[in-house]
This record gives sequence, structure tokens and C-alpha cells, in this order.
Amino acid sequence: MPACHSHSLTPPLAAWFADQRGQPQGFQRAAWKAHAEGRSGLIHAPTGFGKTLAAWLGPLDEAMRDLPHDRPAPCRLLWITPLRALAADTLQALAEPIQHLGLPWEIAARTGDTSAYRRAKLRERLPFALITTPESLSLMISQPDFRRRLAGLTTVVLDEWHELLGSKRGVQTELALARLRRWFPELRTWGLSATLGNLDQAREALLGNRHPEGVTLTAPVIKPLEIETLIPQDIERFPWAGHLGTRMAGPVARRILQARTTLLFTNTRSQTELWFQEILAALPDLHGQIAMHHGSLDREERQRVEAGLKDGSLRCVVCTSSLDLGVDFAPVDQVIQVGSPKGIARLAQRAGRSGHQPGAKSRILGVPTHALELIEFAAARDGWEAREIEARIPLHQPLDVLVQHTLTCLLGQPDDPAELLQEFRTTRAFRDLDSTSWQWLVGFITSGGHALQAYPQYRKAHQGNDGLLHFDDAAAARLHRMNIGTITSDPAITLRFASGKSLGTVEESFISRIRPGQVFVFAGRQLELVRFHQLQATVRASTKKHRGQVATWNGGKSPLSNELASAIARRLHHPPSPAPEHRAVQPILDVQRRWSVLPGRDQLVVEFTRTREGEHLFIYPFAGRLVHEGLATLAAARLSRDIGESVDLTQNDYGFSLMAVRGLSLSEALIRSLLSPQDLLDDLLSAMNSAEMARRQFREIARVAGLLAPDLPGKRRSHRDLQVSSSLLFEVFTRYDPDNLLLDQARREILERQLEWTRLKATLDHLAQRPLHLIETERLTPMAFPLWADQLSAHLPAGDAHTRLEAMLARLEQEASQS
Amino acid sequence: MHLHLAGIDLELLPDLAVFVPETRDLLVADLHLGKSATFRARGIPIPEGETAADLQRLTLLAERTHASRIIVAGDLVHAPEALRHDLPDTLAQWMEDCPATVLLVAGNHDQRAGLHRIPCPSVPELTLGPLLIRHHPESIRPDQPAIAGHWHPSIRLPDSPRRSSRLACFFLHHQCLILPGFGSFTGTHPITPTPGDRVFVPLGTKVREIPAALLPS
Repeated sequence: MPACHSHSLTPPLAAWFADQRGQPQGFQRAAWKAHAEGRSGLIHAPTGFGKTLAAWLGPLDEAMRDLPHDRPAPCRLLWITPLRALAADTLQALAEPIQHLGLPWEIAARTGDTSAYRRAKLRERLPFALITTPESLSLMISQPDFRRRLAGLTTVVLDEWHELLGSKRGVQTELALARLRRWFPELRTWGLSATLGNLDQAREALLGNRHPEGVTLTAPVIKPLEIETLIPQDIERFPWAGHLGTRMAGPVARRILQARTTLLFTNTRSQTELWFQEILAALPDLHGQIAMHHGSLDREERQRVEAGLKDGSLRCVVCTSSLDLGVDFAPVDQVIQVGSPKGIARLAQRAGRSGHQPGAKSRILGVPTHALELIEFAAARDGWEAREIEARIPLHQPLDVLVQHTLTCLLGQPDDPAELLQEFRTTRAFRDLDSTSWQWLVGFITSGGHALQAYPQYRKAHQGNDGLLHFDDAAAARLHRMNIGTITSDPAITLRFASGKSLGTVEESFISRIRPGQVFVFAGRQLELVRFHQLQATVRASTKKHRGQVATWNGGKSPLSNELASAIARRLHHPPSPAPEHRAVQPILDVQRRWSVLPGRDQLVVEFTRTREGEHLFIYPFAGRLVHEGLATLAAARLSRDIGESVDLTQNDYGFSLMAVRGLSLSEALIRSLLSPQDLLDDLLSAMNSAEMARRQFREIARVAGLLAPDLPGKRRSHRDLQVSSSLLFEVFTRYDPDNLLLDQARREILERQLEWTRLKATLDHLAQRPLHLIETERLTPMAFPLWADQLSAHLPAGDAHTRLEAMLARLEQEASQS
Repeated sequence: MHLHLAGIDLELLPDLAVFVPETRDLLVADLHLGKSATFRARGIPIPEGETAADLQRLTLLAERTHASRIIVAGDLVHAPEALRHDLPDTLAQWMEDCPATVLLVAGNHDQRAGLHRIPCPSVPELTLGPLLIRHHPESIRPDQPAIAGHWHPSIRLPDSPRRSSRLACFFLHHQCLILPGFGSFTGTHPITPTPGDRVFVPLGTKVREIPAALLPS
């Protein structure tokens, strides 16, 4: 395969490139050369710098040398994209040179949106280049003849690889790549990534055990990034507690008027709904030119908005991360970020949605919704200038994904367990999978539930007389195929009008709180719930005067990145440079200093306050929201155990708070014991059990591992005997199969992903060394107020479930006697 | 806790069952035996255990109450797959060992699974003095005193200032007492009480009525 020819493109392709793009850049040439030499690698460049052509022209050039130009070509390239929405644009970009050169080579997309007819066509004949998603790729791997039809495959490209990294979809992709490489040892793998703090790990995950042979190519250009912040006027009257909410809507509306097209990013879908209302109210003349976009809206609606962005007919789109990626919206000339930037790479990515041409500057306007967010924008700028970009850590051994993928592979072809294990071990995620776990997994999928006991009625995978693992039960296979691709999606409730028109989806936890007749806001509309039945909620437009509650989604609060948290701590105490945001927030920082002290990372500040509700401790480790959640859970459990009272806890990115009716005090001994690294794991696990976190985490695991029948509307009838809640499953496994490794995974994922065990432990060790600064404050300080006001706080009741029920009984009786 | 329905004394037990002292009948509903086997037969690996455990709970309950008859108000078994292997034998053996006789008031799941393959006498409905016993509560006239199953009722109640629990419950709707699901591998369905409905919740070792003021409306 290594070619001797020079790395310049074939003349017609080179001419096309020169005509369209001018001189190739160094990293593009290098990518073409490396590809021609048979190598794999990772291409790292900001959006709009020609990554797509760097990856595409290598394989295209090779095909032009290898294949006749006058007839259709076999499938040579798979292009994997994380977002279905990107497929159409990628298709256009890849088709451009082919069309120009008049080659009869087909390019097609196959995603969850592709029609059944189209999919059947693709099953007959794969195109020269196939654009697809990780889920669709897995589905194709489950088809017995996929390998044969891919026989001419030379290259697979992973677009937006940073987006997949660090997620279970990323692991699913790693496994699929390992399969492709086992089939075609000469296969070249190329990943495209935007700014990322851990390129080496990204390449390892991409190439598996072949990563030492791979190359990393970086565009030398750093795209200039300008972060401006909309500073509230009249700083003197800045609310002392810092809450701004949507009060900045007026100034934001004026900025929208000054630009041609604005993308307004918020951090959550409910914020998107809120800001859409605010902007609409502030700019009534632009009615019809303002739209919203988030992942729960109906696909048609989203496509309509995307089209409006492309043709410039929309002036402003309020959106969430659903528009973070890829698609080029040329008319966009202004990007606004409402609320905390959360991360440095994230802010840069969003800024990159404007000035989408090479050489253009990225600009973003930050809009604080809270005073401390002013500091966050300034800190994000510091972090960007110091190149402290976040890493995305690839996941390690998620067994639920491996259960799913093993079955996927077996559907495609029976296989030898030892060879499968060897294949899986070539991935980064499972490189050190031990044989005990593997044997457990094989037992789990072949025995029917208890790895040590086989059930006669079980129908799925089985080990044949040939020693190979088989999976050929047709009904179970259908269920499994439906389950592929459910890795990220929580069962969603579809909202429909009685006419059948679908509006989008909400979470069950939200809609189950709405009663028929009640009004809520979704997709910018006032809706009245008519009926909610079996994953379908029927609604009608509401004529009621009052505004209903805005639809909310769980998991809306993403944490500040560690890098940004450090940059903030640094800025508070040793600002690297003066910043207008810092000046603006100074009055609040002064109040904090006057009443208490400015928290930072040199010492641990603990505030003690009494309010009508009880006694509060506010503790500021500056370690990020997830770690604070772990610390708060741990401290609350220990405190509740010691004082026998219920404890309320809240956390944010700066610290956490504990509240009890009585029993708190400001003593160093108390604080040290609450935050002691001793017995950490035991205390945390027991606190977690009472917080039912493992149970929650098990939901995702059960879904990925195929224990929950897919909840597809329309297909429900045939599976109604298989409906069960994940918490019931969790109980059954805990009781009858306590050694099940998926339970173990649930606990591990809670520790690592939800509580960031490693960081938590490091933080506790570090806190144990840090001097304490204890202070009793008369009032809630500016840092304490947001913790106090947090609506999403948790409550750790004293005692176990039984005591709690008894307490409830007493209260019920008391209330009954009063009523 | 005792409830009088059409003059009949009903004892609501925290074990998700009702005992009728006058006739020494023990009433339960919705066991859904063989549910995990149904999952396995469709290729979803779930461990066995709940069938034996639930039958044992029922035996202990019959012994404790000295019941002479167990009436299952429907959905004794989950699905046809459940009866394909050892469940019929297990059931037959259990009925032999159980101190009470067993009568099934057939539910929709029993019918789909195949009544003829369930080794236990069954009737479409039953009267107990003035009380009608039937699986489906929807099919019962509002003024007819009755006991039914099918719904697996549960209710969400606040158990501390910012937290609520979902608890299985007995639900008296009009004149019909709907039993909680007895099977340990069955879920619950949250009910929305309307004025006049009564809700009874097993709490620890007792069953308590939830005051109307605390019911979600």
C-alpha cells in the first residue's frame, strides 16, 4: 500500500483545489501524504480551516489513481459524523469535487433520518463514499453481508471526533473501528477534531493499539478569539445578590438589531424557551424573523430553522448546544452567549460559529445572568490566552456498551469468544479488560440473567457445538437492532396536537407533573395539556391569559470545567490583567470582602450563618460542581449521622452549603471531620445509596445493555409485556444476582462520572492540607446567596427509609388532626 | 386497618393484601408470576427469583391470617411465555403446599397466557355477599360495591420538605376498592384521586389512610 509517488494531488484534482481554495495548507498536504503512505492519524484545526478537504482528498486522490473514471466505484470510504444534522452538509462538501470532475461516483448518507426505501437501496449497493452516524454504523455491522459489501474499503473518517470522545457513543465508535480494522487490516482511520486539551488520548481512542503508528497534524494557525462581555449599566445599582436573570434582554435586543444574523446560545433548553420569549417581547417588529432551536424540538421545525439561518431570512436564533457543531451558517455575523461560559473550549467553539471563513476572527458577546458570571467570562479569556483548553477523557470499560456491541457483532457473524476478546482489547476503552470480566459477559448474554445459572427458556446468544458464539433468534435480534442507537436518548414523550402534528419531545419527569388543563411553554408556544398517555402527550394551543411554566429538562446544569474553575480562582486573587468585567463586579466582591473574605484556592473559606430556616454552613473549595456535589453528599451524610437531623444541601461551581434546623457550629474540628478523607469510600457509598444515585445511573446502563425494551411509539404493542422500570430491575438484580457486573458498573459510573471520584479524593487530600478560614456572617454573603437560593437543592433526610416513613406517618397524623 | 364496604369488614394488610374475617378470604391482585421468564424468553437476561419469593410471601400471609381461601383478583401470571416451562408445575406444587385453597378471578394477562394452562380454578368474576370481585375496575358500575385489581395503584406523597416518595396503595374509587399489585417484579401506576376517593398506604407495619387534604389533586 505505501505509495512511492509524491504527495501532490493528481492534476485534475490539484487544479480543482487551486481554483477553489488556492494554495493547500501544510497540514492538508501532510494529511494527503500520510494517507498515501498508508498511515492513519488525527487532524486538529479550528472550524473552517479545511479539515474536511484534508481528510477527503487523500482517499479521493487515491481512488482517482486506482479506479477507472467512467463507471461507478465500489465503497471505499466511510465518513462517520456524530450529528445527523451534519450529514446533509457533509454530503454537499464531499460531492463538490466529484461533480466538478464529472466522476460517476456516488456519495450517500445513511442516518436515522434516512427513509426505509433509501436504506434498502443502500443495502443493495453501497456508494463510493457513505456518510453515516455511529449508531447507523453499528446497525450495519449487525447485518451479515456488511463485511462483504465493504470489501473495497480503504479509509474511515471520524468527523468531530472530540464530540464523541468521553461518551458512550465514543466507545461504541471505538469498538466499531476495531471491528473494521480486524476485517481490513490495511484500513486507514482519520479523525477530525476541534480544539482539545488531550490530543494524544484522542488519537489513542481513535486508533486503538495502532496509535503509535499514527500522526497528529495541527493547523498552525490559531484562530483569533475576541470575548466581549455585555456589562450591566448602572453598576452602582447592581443587585447585591447578583441575580440578573433576563434583565439584560433589552441591551441584548439592541445588539441583535445591529447585526445581520445572530446566534444566541443559552446553557439549557428551558433558558432557550425563556430567552426566546424575552427577545420576542423586546423586538416585536422582528416577529417571524426570530426562531428557536433545541434538541427536543421536532426535526422538521429544526430543519426549517436551519434553512432560515442558511438563507439569511432569520435575524436571530435562540439555541442550545444543538447548534454548537459543524454546519456552516454563512450569514451569521454575531454570536451571543447568555449565562456562564462553562468551559473555555466550549466558548471558543460557539464563538467559531461566526466568521466561518479561514482567517476571519471569532467573536463572542457574553451576557451574564448573574454577577459572578462576569468573572467567568474574564477568566475564560485568561484561559484561552494561556491555552488552557479542556480535555475530554475517553471512558474506560463501560460494560453495558460492550454487552450491546458483542451482540451486534454476533448478529453479523458467529464468532470465537477468544478472538472477540482479542479484537475488543485493541480498543483504548477495553485494552485491559480481564478475562474474568469477559467470561462473565459471555455468561451473561448466553445464560439468561444469572451468569452462573442457565435458564432453559432463554433465547438470545448461545455457544454452539463449533465453539463459536451465535446470536440468531429472529425476535431477539429485532429487539436488539431497535436498541442500538438508544445510547444517549432517555425515553422521551412526544408532544402532539390532536391533528397529529408533532411539536417535539419533553421528559416524562416534566410532563407527569403537568395536569390536564394546565398550561406550559414549549417551543415558544403556550400549550395546554389535554391528555398524557403511553409516551404521547396531546396538547392544544392555550388561550389562557397567564403564562404557564416553562418546560424543563433534567441534566440541564452542566458543570464548569476544571480549567475554567482554576482560571476563576486565579482571577479573583491574582488577576493576570485588568478586565472590564472585573471592574464591573468589583462592588460585589467588595461586599463579599467586607462581610466575609474572598474565597480562593489558597485557603478553605467556611461561612456560618443563621436564617429563619436554620443554621447554614457555606464551604468554598472551588473544585467544580460535580466534586462539590460529592463533597456535599459526603459531608451531609456524616453530619446527619452525627447530629441526627435532616440536612439540606446545595452546590454550585464555587462551593456547597449544608443546612440543618440545629446542630451546626463553626468549629474547625467539625469541618475537618466532615471533610476527612478517612473512610471516604464507605461513607460516600452509604450516602449514595440513600440518595438513590446508583439506581438512577442504572437506568442508562440497563438501556444500553438491552435490559429495557425499547420504547418506540407504534411498536409498543408487541413489547408491552416487557415494560419495566429501571428501578425495579435494579432491585431484582440486587436481590437475585448481586454479583452482576452491570451493578458494579453503575456504582463505578456514579463514582467516576457523577462524583468524579479521582478529583474528589484529590480535593479532599488537598483540603486536609489547606488552612481553614472560619467566619460567622450576619447575613448571607454574595457568594452564599446563590447557594441558599438554589431551587434544585437536595435533601438528605435523617435516618433510613423506615424512620423516614415513620416520620411521615407522624406528620400525616398531625396534619390530619389539624385539618 | 379496617374498612367497611357495603357492610363487609375488610382488613387492609400492609403486605398489599386484604383479609375478609367473616369468610376468611385473603384477596390479592396482580402477581404477574413468570415475568422475568417472559423477559428471558424474548432475549432479555434477567435473573429468576421473584416467582418463588412472591409465592412464599403469599403462603406466609395465608398462614398468618389463617385464611381458608386465597382469591387472586386477576393477573396471576404475566404472559404466555411464562407458562411454557416450569411455572405450571411450580404453581401446582405451591397450591398443594399452601394451607388455603386458591381461586383465580381471571385477568387480561391470565387470559392471554392461556387459562387452561394455569393449574388453578378460575372464574370470570365472583360475588362475596354484596361485593363483586372482578379484575377490571373500569367495567364496574360506580354504585356497585366491588374489589378489583389491574391498576397497580400508587400515590406520590411528600415525605420531607423537598422530596416525595411513590408508594403502592389501596385505592377506593366510588364503591370499588382497587388492590395494589402484589408481585415484586411489577411496577405501579400513579393515580390521580378525585374528590370522594380514599387512599390507604402501607406504612411500616400498618396501613394508614391518607387525609384528603394531603392528596394531590
